[in-house]
Order: sequence, then C-alpha cells, then structure tokens
Amino acid sequence: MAQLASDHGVNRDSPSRLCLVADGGTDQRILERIVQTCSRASGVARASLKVEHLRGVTLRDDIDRYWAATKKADSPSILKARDAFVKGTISLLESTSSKFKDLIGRPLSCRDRVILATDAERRLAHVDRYFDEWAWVVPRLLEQSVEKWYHRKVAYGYPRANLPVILPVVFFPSIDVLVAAARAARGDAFDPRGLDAPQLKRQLYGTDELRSVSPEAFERVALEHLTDEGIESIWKMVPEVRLFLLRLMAS
Amino acid sequence: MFQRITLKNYRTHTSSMIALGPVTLLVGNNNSGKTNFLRGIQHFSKLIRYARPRLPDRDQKDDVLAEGPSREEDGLKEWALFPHKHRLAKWDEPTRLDCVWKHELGSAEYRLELLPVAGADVGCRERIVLNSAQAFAQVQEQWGWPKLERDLNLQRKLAESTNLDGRLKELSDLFFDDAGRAFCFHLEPSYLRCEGPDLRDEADRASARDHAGLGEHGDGLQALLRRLRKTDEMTFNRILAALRSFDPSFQNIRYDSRKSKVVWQFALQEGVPGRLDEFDSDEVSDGLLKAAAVAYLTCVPSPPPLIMLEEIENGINPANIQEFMTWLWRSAGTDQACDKGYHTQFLLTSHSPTVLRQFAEHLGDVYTVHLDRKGFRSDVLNLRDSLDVFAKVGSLDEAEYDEDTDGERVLKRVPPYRLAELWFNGTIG
Repeated sequence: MAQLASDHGVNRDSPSRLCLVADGGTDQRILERIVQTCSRASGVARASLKVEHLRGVTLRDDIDRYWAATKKADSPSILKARDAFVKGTISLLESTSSKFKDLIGRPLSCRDRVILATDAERRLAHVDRYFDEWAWVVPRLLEQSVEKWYHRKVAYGYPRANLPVILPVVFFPSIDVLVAAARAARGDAFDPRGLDAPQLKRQLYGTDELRSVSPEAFERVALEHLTDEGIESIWKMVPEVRLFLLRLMAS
Repeated sequence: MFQRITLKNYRTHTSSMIALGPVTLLVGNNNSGKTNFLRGIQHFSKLIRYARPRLPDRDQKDDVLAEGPSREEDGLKEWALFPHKHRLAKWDEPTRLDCVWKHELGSAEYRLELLPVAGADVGCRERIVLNSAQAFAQVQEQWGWPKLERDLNLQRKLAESTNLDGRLKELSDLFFDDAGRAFCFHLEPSYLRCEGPDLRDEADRASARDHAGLGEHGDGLQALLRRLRKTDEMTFNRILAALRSFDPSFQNIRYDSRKSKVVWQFALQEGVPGRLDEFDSDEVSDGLLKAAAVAYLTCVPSPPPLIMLEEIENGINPANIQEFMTWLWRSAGTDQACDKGYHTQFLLTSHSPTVLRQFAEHLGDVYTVHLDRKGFRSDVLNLRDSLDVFAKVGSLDEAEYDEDTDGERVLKRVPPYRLAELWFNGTIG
C-alpha cells in the first residue's frame, strides 16, 4: 500500500482523513469518539487522524423508503426495494466521495476512510434476531452497494490507491444501542434489545429529543462511556458492529 | 413556558389556537396568515410590557382619529383605531389573546380583550387564573369587568393586593414578565450587514432595540458583536464556537478601529498556522451572517421566553438547516426540560420542506395555516391530526404509531422523505 500511495502522489506524512456519514450530528459525535478510541487502541497517534463530519448527506431517506417498500410482502416488491436501496446508496457514495475530496482539498487516497452509518429504526426483539434475514440483509445490501461503487470506479480507471476505504454499518434500532452497551461496562446494565429508538433514547438520556441535550450532558451520559472497556462491552453485546469494529481497527 | 396561545379577531385569525412545544413550526402558503399569528403574539406582548391597550404605532393613523366624528359611522376611523382587527369582525367583537402558561411554581391562564370605548379610544379588560403548584392555592382576578379600562393594570393590582398569597404573587410576576417578552425576528442579510442601526423614527428605534439590541431584522448584529467581545466574553466565545461548527474555515471576529468596522477572520489555507484572511461584513456570506444572528439568539444567557423567527431557512443551504435546528433545540431546553419547563421557546414560520423534515418525530409541534377566502379567515390545523386522518384512510402507509400513557394510539412519526413528498404534492403547506 505504501508503494501504491507514493506512486500516486499521496503524502504519507499528512494525517489520514476519516469522513463520517450518519443520520445526524449526535450520531457523528458518537462515531467520532469510537473511532478515536479504536485508533488509540491500535496505536494510531491522534494527530495522524483527522475526522470530518459530512453534513446533509445521509442514508435516512433510502432506508425509510426501503422499509416502506418491504412492507408489501410479495417477492417482486422486495427485490425492487432492494435494488432501489442499492442504487440510492451508490449515488450517495458518489456524492460523498466528491464532497469529501472538496472538504480535504486533495484527491482521496486509500489511507482515507468513509464510515457509512445509519440507524435501522427497527427494533430487534432479541439480540439473535439480528441474524433473521430481514435485519441481516440490510448491512449486506450496503456492502453490495460499496462493492458495486468500487466496480464502477474501476471501470472509470481509478487505481485502488485513489479510492477510500468504505466502512458500512447499520444499528438496530439506532446508534444509541452502542451507548447502552458501553454503559453496561460500568454496571449501568439494561437490555437495549426490545426497545424502539425513542424508548431507547428516553431510557438513556431522559428525553427522546437528543438535540435538546446540552453538549456537557451528552458527554457525561454518552461519550465518556466509549472507552476501551466500553468498546469491549459493545463487542460482546452488539453483533451488528463486530465486523465494523475489526475493520476500523485494522484499516 | 407557554403551553397554548389563542388569538381571536387579530388580522386574519378569527379564532386560532396553537399548543407550543420547545420548537413549534407554522407552515402554509404565502398570504395564509403565518406572520399574522406571530405579529399578533408580539403585539399583545408589547401591550402587556407597556401596560397599555394601544401603542404609538406607524400603522395606527392618529391623524385620522383626531379628525372625524363617531367611529361607528366611519369605517376608516374604526380601522384607524383597530388596525389589527379582523376586517370582517363586528364592531363590538373583541380582539383577544388567551394564553396558558406553566412554570415549576404553578400555572396561569390569562385573557386580554381589546374593545372600543367612548371617546374614540381603545379599552381593555384582563382576566387571570393563577394556580400555585406548591401551595395548592388558586386565585382568579380580573380587571376591566364590567366597565372597560384604559390601561392594563391587572399586574399592578395583583402586586399590590394584600390578600394574595406570596407564592401566587411571585407566580403572577413571573407570568407577566414572560408575557411581556415575546420577540419576533425576520432576519435579513441587508440589515445584518449594517454597521450601525439605520433608524428612521422613534417608533422604529424602539422596536429595533428589542431583545438586547439585535433588532427585528438584525440591523444591530455588527454593533452587538462589537459590544459582546468587550463586555461578555463567554457569550461571544459561544457564538464563535457555533459559527466554527457552521463553517470550519471561520475563525474569529475583531473590531478594526481604523475602519470602524467589524472584521471577520477565516483560515482559508489549511496547514498554514497563524495565517488569517480578513473580510468586511459586506464580503461575508448571507448564510454566515444569519448563522451569527441565530447563534446570538441561542447563546445569550437570559433568552426571552418566546422567540419567533420568520423564514429561518432563507439564505441557508438545506444541509445546514439541521445544524440550525440543533441550536434551537439545545437552547430551548436541557434533559431536565420536561420537568422544569423550557429555557426558551421558538415559534418558526417556514416555506421549506427541509425545515419540515426536522419535525418528522414532532408532528404535534407543526401547524398548517390555510386562508379560507370566503371568510378571509386563517385556519390553523395541527399536522399530526391532519396526517392521522390520511393514515387512517390508508393513504399514508409509512406512518408509525406509538401508545401514549393512556394506551391510546398516537401518530408518532412519518419518515422525513414522506413529509417532503407530501409537501411537494401540495398535501402540506
């Protein structure tokens, strides 16, 4: 990778960039803290990683449309919904890479990463239900979208040194499941499964409107739990992020 | 905090009620009555602040009042006296404000009515019911019944009452203080760039000084930033932090005494430490100026209890609307908000589906305003109630329901994309 990067004019001394695509500002802050904790655990110096928050780009509409379309239980409409979801995600990846490039003011490289995260807004009655097809297929559709996007970029002649690493992840019902799991590491245990997204928020923050929570309270209630122990607890309790965490630490 | 506000016979509102949340949104076509509702609240708030049923106002034609004979015979005279009254209302129908207000110490239900009195003037009457949460005491007081009065003196009457429980007196003071401090802003870039307020007359000067100098259209922004930098560093730094989150290249604001201007500093080149490029306010984007004004309103330590913002989306990229709304929500309350009431409340008007999308999980805090041309009357409907009807007839499959504390099914959420679709096909707005 070092050879490839230098071949294409990538400055390895400059910090690598990580771009966060999520459903909102608080989601981005949670992800940023997880990235920082995981990077520190992998021995990456804080100064060598810069995190960018991409505003106004989100998978929210695509996933809401997907759920609405899959309500109709017949196979053709489900296949059509999956196809539409993949197409929507590919468009979003194209616009994300373009905005990410503008944001950092240089061509993207294989040292840059994009986290493509969204809330499913669907609850799992039990942790094992993640492996039911209706839930498990959504992250797989995101993976398919990423691979198709790479396929298109290769067809346009992009070398692999000039494409970012994309890390997709979907949370059930929302990213707050990570906070709940991390808090369990400090003995604040409750089972986040079986709760829908607003119920989970109320349980964690005392309100289902996170925008009304002050930054200080959010730090206290959520971010400060995302330590090494917290991530270990997430690893144990949240199967939908295991692959994501491993990729994050490896890349 | 205000729980409910009703206007009767004010401009196009013959009888319109809204329940206020931390952030409440009015959407509707042009000329449907959204602004009228905001202006009505502001008008009554000013009357309460100045304890008078009529204000010296450019809209009120005092010269007409001074001339003609009896107002009943002269329509022009009537509307000179009551320029804000619904034009099809009868002469003896009052223009009225009703509000329900809540505080951790108790609650208040207040009514203010304006009616004509002999001598070509405006009379008023007030009524209040105060409920103390701690003392379990209630009092009902009124002023101007049966005979109309020429001043709003209920507040003074309560303050001077020797029979009233101390806690109810405190509650009354808190209510009237809140009721007299509702401010409406229609921030406009050309005003936001003003180095000093360009005020034409006394009435303008008075209204422009609302809310610690920002001014209704934002003409006090530059002067305010200049002053805040010297006098209130904490608020100034909070505004800077908000602006840096809005535009990462923005760095600071300083006053250039040589130019007698506020100068905006940006770090245009990453990796060149210490280099800042400076721009006059004329050269700064409309969006950033508006962000500065909204940041001020949401960062100020003692905000007014009710801030009304017209067309918040003007000049703002849709991608940044979410950031604006986060500022408003954060300013409105904290995690303890549900118990103690909100720090401040916002009432917005908008023509933007992007703003509407921010309310996908707060449909009860959105009202649609339509103008009924037949009666020239604004109809104000709660969006959750309207969408509930669509969901029940099966035309809104995406609606998600929740159970409230009584076990009733309540429309909880409509996906944001669907709200935008309903906007674009004309169902909403």
